[in-house]
Amino acid sequence: MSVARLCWTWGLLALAATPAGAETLRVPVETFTLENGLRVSVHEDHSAPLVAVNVWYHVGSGREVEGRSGFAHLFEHMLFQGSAHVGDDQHIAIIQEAGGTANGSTNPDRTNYFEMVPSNYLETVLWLEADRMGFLLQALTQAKLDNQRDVVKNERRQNYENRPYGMEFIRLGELLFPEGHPYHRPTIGYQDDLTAASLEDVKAFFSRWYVPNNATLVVAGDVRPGEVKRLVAKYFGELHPGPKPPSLRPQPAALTADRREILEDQVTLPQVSIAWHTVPFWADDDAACDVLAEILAQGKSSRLHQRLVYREQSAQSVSASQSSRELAGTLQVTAQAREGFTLAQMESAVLEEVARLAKQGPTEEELARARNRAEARSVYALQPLLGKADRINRYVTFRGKPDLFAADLDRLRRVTAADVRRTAMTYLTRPKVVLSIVPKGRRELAATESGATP
Amino acid sequence: MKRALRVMMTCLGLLAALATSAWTKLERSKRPAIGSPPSVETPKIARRPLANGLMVWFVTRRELPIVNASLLIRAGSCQDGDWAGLAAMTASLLDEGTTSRPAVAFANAIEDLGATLSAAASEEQTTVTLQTLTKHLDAALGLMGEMVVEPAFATEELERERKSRLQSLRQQRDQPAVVAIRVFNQVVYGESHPYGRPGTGTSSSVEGITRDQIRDFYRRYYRPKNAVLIVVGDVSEAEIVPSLERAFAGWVQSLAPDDALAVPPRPPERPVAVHLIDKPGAAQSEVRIGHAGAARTTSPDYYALQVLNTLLGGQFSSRINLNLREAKGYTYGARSSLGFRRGDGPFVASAGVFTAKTDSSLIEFLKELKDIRTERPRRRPSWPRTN
Repeated sequence: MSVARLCWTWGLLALAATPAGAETLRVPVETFTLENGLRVSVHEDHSAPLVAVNVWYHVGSGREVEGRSGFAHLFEHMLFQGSAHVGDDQHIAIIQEAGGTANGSTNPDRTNYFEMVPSNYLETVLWLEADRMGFLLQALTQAKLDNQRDVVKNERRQNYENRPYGMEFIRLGELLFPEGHPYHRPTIGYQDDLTAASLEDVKAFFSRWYVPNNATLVVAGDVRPGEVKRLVAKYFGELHPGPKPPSLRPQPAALTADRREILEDQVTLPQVSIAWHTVPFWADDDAACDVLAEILAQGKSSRLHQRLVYREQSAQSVSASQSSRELAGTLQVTAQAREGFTLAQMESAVLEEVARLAKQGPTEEELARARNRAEARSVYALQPLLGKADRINRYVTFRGKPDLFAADLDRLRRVTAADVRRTAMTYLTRPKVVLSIVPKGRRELAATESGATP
Repeated sequence: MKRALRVMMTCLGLLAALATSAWTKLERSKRPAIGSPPSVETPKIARRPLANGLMVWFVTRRELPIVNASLLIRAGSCQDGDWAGLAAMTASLLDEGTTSRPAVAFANAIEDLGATLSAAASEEQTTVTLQTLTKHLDAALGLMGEMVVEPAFATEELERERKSRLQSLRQQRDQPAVVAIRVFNQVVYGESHPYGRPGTGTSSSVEGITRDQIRDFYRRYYRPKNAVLIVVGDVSEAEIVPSLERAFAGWVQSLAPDDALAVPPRPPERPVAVHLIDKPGAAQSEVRIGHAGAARTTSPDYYALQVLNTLLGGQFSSRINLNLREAKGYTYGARSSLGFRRGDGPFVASAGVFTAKTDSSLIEFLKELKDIRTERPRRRPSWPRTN
């Protein structure tokens, strides 16, 4: 049995554990900050001879300037194109030669970069990450930018334009958030804006946001904190800090009336997405909104799945999620209607179930199930080392503390029936976006104004 | 003059010393040395049969309070015969109601535990997968056993499943990548070959599959001696065996049917041909290039092929991706893979490429496929940067 760094204290075994159950989830993390402002978290996990390195830059598509949508993500691609002391295409090649994996991702709030390698490659990975944090611009060329611009345009084609219902996500953001709001434009960007991005933009973006004092680093795995400290100081210590990044405040958005739109697409079945404004990540009602979404349409036991997929058999699928980000949150329900059914019928069913929850609240059984699922998910999420490292950076960046695993679970456990009822009443009765995507030429299948069957 | 030279040389010496100290501070262009490889402790694997003959393999891992269990049954779409989709439908009906409880109650029981439990068929196996917190292990295994030992295959659940599958099949036409691989398999292996038939079935086969066929498929292949159970997690063999014996007690012993292990034949070689499927207005073309590859169990070249594919298209830094994505920008990603099966599974190179670059992409793909058979050396690593 190897050393278990995660401690799980066993308490109540009953299914319906009390909200503040005796079980605690601990992921011990050591933290330190370099003089240049780089915040570092180290988590020891010796269960396998691996190390995960995860870097977050607190900049995403939300901080792009007008006319440069998609830039934060295009920029992410440039970080794999070599830096002053690392050759073109070598970042991933070196990691893959070690048998490791590497990738990055961008969302509206942040950009992350991560690697997982055998633990004897820790120094190599820190060298790679430090080099692109400190010395990227020397290796930049117009040819590389042009190439990655083409790659990103293809990413957009593959994941949005050529995918059934692919424009749903982009259009929902545009409809929910007003122009100028950081969440209005899609992270993947618009093709014209991608075309317009210049080498000067890349340089300015790097100097503004890719500085140690706007970054957080997690090293997790088969490592000793002392050794990590020494190596991090060696490679990151002399990097220069940039101007202090402006702090962000929540930017709630509201709709004054329902917004309905119909898109035609090359699809067989029509799909409706209904979305409301809720609250940002970790705000007071965030956890209750999570539970609300779960009871509505997550899993086969949820109300809408049982009604539309099992009983009425009118929907091919139905799902819901509370997507809470740094500045604002939304709750979305999506349903695909089977042949012979309309999106208006889907919408009516969704609104009826929302109204029922707002009036009567969830049952104790539903609440216990939601708690048990939340608890199980938080433990399952600790299995992949990279996932654990990324979660630590999420807590550091948005909450200022690395070890909020237990607190995160607790906020879900504390949700009461009254909370779910109140959040349904508060947020899901507000004006909403109703986006219908229908097969070409079949606009009669869309969800109409009244929400009633046409 | 001499003195001046000496002074100059001293100065140079000083400069050199300064430069050296700056470099020894941190020479970033030098890639760090790699420490000695960490020792890897492979997990201890134990195995023993249950009373009914089901062989169970155990690995204890105590890091997290989680247990994962996978039941592998030696039967998949290769055993579909004339009814494409039979294995898939049988598998997906397992958790849609048992003789003890209807579908909805079964779904609630699993999700009450926060466990995940599902079943799916691939070409040569059906897999039932469970993940649960250790504290719910006994209850979760009970449900796993229930769905494997006493599935109801109730008519109303079958009809619901049939409807859902028919809609899914129609929806597959919306997805270019799904259409591409379906047609690829058909072209390479032929429609009547086990690897050429779609595992998800066709509209007519799914329309026609009866409850009796599903029950027969189940009786024929879902037997303890035609399956193996793998348990990994926060439990020892001794701790879990009583739960397993209870969970699978009703599963009857029998001999394994012979044809579950049948090896599909290698398809005849076909002339090189380009097959086009038109999707007007598509932003990309989905490209699949390949042929029948090699068998997992019988090919002496298994390891050599793995290395070959790693160079060719198995990962990001492989030739195909560096060419089509990183040099040409035609795609978000291009790759190749070998599907190792009992018979000669497919070798396929694939990418979604910008429509206007479809022909150029084919040229580059074919060039890489040709070059890997020649002496073209691996690209010399370009680090450290020399400027």
